[in-house]
Amino acid sequence: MLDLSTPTRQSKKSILLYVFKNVKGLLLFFLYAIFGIGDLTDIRIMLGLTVAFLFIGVIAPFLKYYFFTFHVEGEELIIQQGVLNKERKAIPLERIQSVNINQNLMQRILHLVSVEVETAGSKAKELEIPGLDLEFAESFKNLLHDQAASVENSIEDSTEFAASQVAMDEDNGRVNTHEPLLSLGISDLLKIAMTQNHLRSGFLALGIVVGFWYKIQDLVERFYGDVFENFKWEDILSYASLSLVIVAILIFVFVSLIVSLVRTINKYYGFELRKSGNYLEVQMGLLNKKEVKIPINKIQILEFHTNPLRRLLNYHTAKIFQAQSDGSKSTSVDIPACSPAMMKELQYIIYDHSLQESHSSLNSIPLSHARLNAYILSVPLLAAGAAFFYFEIYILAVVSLLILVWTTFNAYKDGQNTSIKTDKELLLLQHGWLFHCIIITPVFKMQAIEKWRSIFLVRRQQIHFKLHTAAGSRGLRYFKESEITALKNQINNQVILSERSWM
Amino acid sequence: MTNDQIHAIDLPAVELSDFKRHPKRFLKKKLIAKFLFFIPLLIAVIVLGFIIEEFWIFWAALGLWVFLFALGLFISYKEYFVRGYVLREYDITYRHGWMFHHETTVPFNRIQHTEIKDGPIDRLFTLCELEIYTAGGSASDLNLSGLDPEDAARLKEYIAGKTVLHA
Repeated sequence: MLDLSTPTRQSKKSILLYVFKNVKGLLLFFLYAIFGIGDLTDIRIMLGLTVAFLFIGVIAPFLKYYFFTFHVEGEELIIQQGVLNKERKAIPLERIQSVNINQNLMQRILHLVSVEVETAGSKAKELEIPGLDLEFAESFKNLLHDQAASVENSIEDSTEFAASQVAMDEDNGRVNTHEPLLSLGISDLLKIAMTQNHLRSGFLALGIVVGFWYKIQDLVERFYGDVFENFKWEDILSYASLSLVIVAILIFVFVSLIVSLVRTINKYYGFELRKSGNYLEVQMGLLNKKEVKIPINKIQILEFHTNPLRRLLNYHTAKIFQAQSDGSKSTSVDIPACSPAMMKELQYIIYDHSLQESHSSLNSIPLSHARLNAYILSVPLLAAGAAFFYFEIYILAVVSLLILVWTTFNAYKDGQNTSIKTDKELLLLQHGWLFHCIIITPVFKMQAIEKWRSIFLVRRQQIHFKLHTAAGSRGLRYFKESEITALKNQINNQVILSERSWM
Repeated sequence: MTNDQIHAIDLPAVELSDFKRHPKRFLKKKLIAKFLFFIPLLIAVIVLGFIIEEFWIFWAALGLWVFLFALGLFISYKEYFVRGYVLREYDITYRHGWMFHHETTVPFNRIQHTEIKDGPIDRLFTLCELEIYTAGGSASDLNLSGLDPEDAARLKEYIAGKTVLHA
């Protein structure tokens, strides 16, 4: 067992990590400095630069390493750091939500990993120990989890928890022999990549290219003068013919596919999901490896997303949300390529049961969805249509009309697929027609229930529903007011009576 | 003392309770704050009138200002009458907003902490704001603005007493 009673430093190799980080951060600055000065023969400037480089590149990392310590004291994890501004962070072990192990490219080269401790109350990035040996990190992670669990256990003293704790301890010994619940091979990855939202990938690539374009243009112009003077986007546009447009679209599609493929493989390579005791463990990543361990009882929301392409394969993407801190991005874990059987199993693992058949179901009012869409879009689209008609470009006039009809139809279908289902334990929200989404959350984990409406809905006696959990808020629109009122009261009263720990 | 079994279904609905309104001076404060907000815009419009030769632009801008100002005052006035809170044995409900009306219920066993705040205009009217924080993001926090300081202190005390039972 690991001994962490005294302040411990990171692996010595972490100095190299800091060196790399600092040099990388300053590289551009130094390049600019060198180009800007121009006169490299001046010995004083060279000396100054060298000293600065040495300090930032060598001494600062060493100091940073030397003063970064962590240890467990009583029931708290203590992290101390800082050379001039000393900082001491104490994290109560029972507050720890999950301990993640990440590894980026540089860390892989150095055989290091970073350990990230997540709590509900702090910004995740601040609690990071960036340079640890893998073995050390693994046992550190387990140590934190064991201690956190035992602290919680002694506080709660619930028999149910104690029982599962025993089961966990048994599990811990044979974690590695566990069969993964889900592991993705190359063919799965290909399937996921091909069913990505390519439009997003394409625009991402486009954004990067445009962003780089201006930088490159800047640099080149600095050295070679105005080579781009005779080059204007307007010229290209004025030469544009149908065939050019088609070629552009083909290139766009091709690039989108490639980007999707690269992103998917980089993110999900070697994906494995396993359950060990009270935790879900996920690992994935090609260049940047990521290992996440989530306590099951701290999961707040489980979501299943799909898109039209994935539906052909009967695949969903599961997203798991834990309690999040204010200001930080929601801490969620994606599980791609869930088959229906897998979806059910996940629900059983996380919530002990999936939604019973005998549930009450509230349906949204699709007409209201369609009406909202029509109201909002009809003004610009009809105006555009009229303008095109006036200029006698009839095709575009028809297109804008078709867009209006299609989006309104889409909104209507979305509304038809929007519903809330409940049984005693779980609340299941679903919405979306082409991009279907199922949100499942236990009733007792609710923090606040909200109903809201705009002034226009009063007469129609319709209302929106919104629930707030520690992992964020989710809401659905356009329900009958009386039904939502009853649901809100029912959920609220269930929460009041619940004694279970919800965070 | 009784110890009857309680079922969630038997607990009363929030809609049956009386919502307590904010003190009348909160309405005054709101209207004055709105007026103060619109003064810089009015100055901008007048300056515009001096700079620009064409008169109709000035009149149009002034008309727009008057319209927005009247709308702002109207909404502030309307909002006062739909704003209110209910404190019950195990939860607090707050409703606010006229154009977009919200009603949020937070049970005491989900409240993390509370805070009382006031600004200069608040102090002028002896008002203050009670903030009720829950865990996670800030979306579910309640802001009860425009309370009587004594009421707010009592509310805070009451909620603190309730939440400590669940901590």
